[in-house]
Amino acid sequence: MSLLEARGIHKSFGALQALGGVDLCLERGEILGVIGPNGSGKTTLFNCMTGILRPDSGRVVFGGRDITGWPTHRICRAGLVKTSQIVRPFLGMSVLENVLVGGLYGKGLLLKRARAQALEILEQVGLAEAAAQPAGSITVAMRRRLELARCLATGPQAILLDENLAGLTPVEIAESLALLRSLNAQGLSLVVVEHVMQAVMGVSQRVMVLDYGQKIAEGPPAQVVADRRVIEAFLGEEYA
Amino acid sequence: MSTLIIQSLINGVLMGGIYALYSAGFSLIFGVMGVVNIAHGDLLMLGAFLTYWMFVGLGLDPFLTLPFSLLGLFALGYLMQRLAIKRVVGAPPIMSYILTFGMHLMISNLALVAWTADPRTVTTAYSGAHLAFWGLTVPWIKLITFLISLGVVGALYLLLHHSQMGRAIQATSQDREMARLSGIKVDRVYALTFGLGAAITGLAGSLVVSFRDVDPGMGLPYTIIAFCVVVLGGMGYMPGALIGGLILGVVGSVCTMIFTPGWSIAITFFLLYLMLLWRPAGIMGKGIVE
Amino acid sequence: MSGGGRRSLYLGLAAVAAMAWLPAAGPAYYLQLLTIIFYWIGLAACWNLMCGYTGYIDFGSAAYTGIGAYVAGLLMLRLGLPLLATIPLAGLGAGLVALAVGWPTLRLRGAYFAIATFALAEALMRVCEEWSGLTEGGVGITIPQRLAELSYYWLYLGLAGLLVGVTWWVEHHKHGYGLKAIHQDEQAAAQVGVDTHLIKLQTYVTSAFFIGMLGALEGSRLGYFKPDDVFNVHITIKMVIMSLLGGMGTVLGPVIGASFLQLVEDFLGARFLNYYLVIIGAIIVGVIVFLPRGITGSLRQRLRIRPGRRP
Ligand SMILES: Nc1ncnc2c1ncn2[C@@H]1O[C@H](COP(=O)(O)OP(=O)(O)O)[C@@H](O)[C@H]1O
Ligand SMILES: [Mg+2]
Repeated sequence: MSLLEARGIHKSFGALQALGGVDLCLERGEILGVIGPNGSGKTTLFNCMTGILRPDSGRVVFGGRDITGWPTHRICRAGLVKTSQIVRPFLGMSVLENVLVGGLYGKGLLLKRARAQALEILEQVGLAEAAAQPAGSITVAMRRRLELARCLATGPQAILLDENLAGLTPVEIAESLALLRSLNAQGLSLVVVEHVMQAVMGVSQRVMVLDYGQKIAEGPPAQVVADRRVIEAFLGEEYA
Repeated sequence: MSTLIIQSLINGVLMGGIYALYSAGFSLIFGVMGVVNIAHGDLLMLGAFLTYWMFVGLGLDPFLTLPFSLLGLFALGYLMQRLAIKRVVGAPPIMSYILTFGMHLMISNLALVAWTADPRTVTTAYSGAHLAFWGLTVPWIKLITFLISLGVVGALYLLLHHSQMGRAIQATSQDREMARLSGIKVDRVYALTFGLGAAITGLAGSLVVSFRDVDPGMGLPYTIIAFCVVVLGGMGYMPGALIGGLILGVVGSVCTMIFTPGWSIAITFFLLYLMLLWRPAGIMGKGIVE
Repeated sequence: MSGGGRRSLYLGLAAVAAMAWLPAAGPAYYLQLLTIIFYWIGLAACWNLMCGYTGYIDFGSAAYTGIGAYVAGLLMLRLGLPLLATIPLAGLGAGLVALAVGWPTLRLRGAYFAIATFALAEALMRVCEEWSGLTEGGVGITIPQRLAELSYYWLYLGLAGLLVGVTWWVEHHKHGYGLKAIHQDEQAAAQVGVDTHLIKLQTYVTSAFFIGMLGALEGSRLGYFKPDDVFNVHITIKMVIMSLLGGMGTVLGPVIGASFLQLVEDFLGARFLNYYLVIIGAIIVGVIVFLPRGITGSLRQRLRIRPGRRP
């Protein structure tokens, strides 16, 4: 059975239908790429799966349990977390404290253990140097890694990464992708959202494409890039 | 019995007009600047005293004092914004509560020292005049006051939607930075907005003088009612002040008839509380929700 | 863990210990002044614990002083319970009401939470005034029992010390990180597993419990009160201003803010009976305009002392 399965997710904002019955399926140990133009509903899909939004209809099953309608913190404790597209560190806290919160609440660790774990994770994502700095004072690239570190601290089985690579330099992207691969090698399942294809294609074992709230393609990266509808969605009809 | 109910409905609607008037000022200030003005009722009190003293000192008819309180309170509001309120625009909301509470303490207690706590009344030749039909009575003063209130709220609405200044205010309330970038002097817009809100509130003060007594402590209850009206109608949504004002006026008046004035206030507050839980954006769902 | 937090605690404890000697030293006037100061430190600490740390501005905290005072007073009057037994029951009553109120209300944000709590406190006051069969209404109640002056001093000192201690503990343990995360970004907090609603509710109820006990004690110390005395919005506002003056979301903020404001009030009240509320108003306006970070925060900034930071 899949680790995470979303079935027929519908979500509308007033008259605007952001998701029109989307299915998503993530196997254990897999990296799934989700691509789609801006406004195609990627963030909304993530929010519906993590309880930040309530889908109008459809179910979300995680680890064999129906988590539809669960509050966000409970979904997090069950092992499913997401990084936000717009990074939102706790600005008044240090980098370490940011990660600490994840260990304390997401994983239920005691303070001492959570602190040790936070240091390990910061080491792993390459933020150890910045541990004592206020989260408000670090660069955007570091904030993106902090976002990931905070999620890792909750001890997840799957992480949904919402454009965690946006705005990074090619070198930073390469580093981040290497990190994601190593996390995946340790058994973590990932869903990676980007609106640029290339970054995702290299790291994903399987890719699904969203357009106007519909899944228009799914399969191995090489097959998806060749799909006529995908090219249309990304480049406009004249290129197809 | 049915006359009694109709009479209390009429009283409620007439009262609702005044509520709408000064709540529109409260809502305007909140909508544009995000400032909850706890000294709001005190501005109303100042307008009321201005009218009282012009009536007593100069023998001016209360309705003739309206332009003076409009201008006087506009100036005061403009200054308040320029000297202090501008410090809390964009700061956490608690700063504006505290600042304006400090202003409430200053204004109401200065008034207390200057004018004592004695309630004062204004009685004119036409104070008792009323329309009577079908066993119902409608005091002329309240009717005229109601019409003036509606007129001013309407004028405010037009001003906001069909004038240069109104457009600048709208633009600023939607996005301060964008407004600044497109050449709007945001500080001035805020001062104008606060002045405008204070002016119509002072006007409401001058109007209530005609049918109730005036004392330095009268302000805070009006602030509280403005809270309720604005929450009912939707924070920052101008026509909501009218809807909220009328609802609150009628509910208050009917509850007073059925129970006692005290219960009526208690019920009003519970209504407000439930309203916040049920529809924080107001009955029409058009207010600002953070 | 070292530095600021622990230093604050020791400073606080030292201050409390020094205060313990004071009543023995001076005339009764000072005993009364200190008693009142500790009462307010207690209240401000309660307010700060919930609102200072989470950023949820409760404008109806006076509901809980009122409920505390009336629960204790009526238990003494109607059932003849001894005063000291009614105090924890008053806290319990306030806590239960806070649970019922907080459950829905703590889902509101910003100005809406402030207005809702305010409305509720006002409504409760009116109910208390109108329901004279139960509460004697606007006439007020006279409390048949009273403790010795010195007992109030010790009880308030003890409660204030306890609350400062609780705040210190919260600041340095899991709960404090949760509260601060909520303050910074509630949704991000939920995303990393913080059960935001539960934590807010726990803190709100705890805070109300202590406010209720303090209200009950103060009611008996006053000996006679009306709904308007114990539900008064000015009580709430004072808690808010004290926390703000001293620095919201800090362990010692309420201690500094409450001592300062109460001393100023006492000083001005004795000399400028007519003008002292005007002056208090002017001080508040002045602090917001010139020292927006509170007395301690602004001084710290002026002197370039950074708050104790732990890695
Ligand atoms: N809270 C919201 N209210 C109204 N519309 C929204 C909201 N969130 C997203 N949308 C709309 O839903 C559509 C999908 O948005 P989103 O999921 O953010 O797309 P993506 O992440 O793929 O760029 C967009 O048209 C967006 O404007
Ligand atoms: Mg997105």
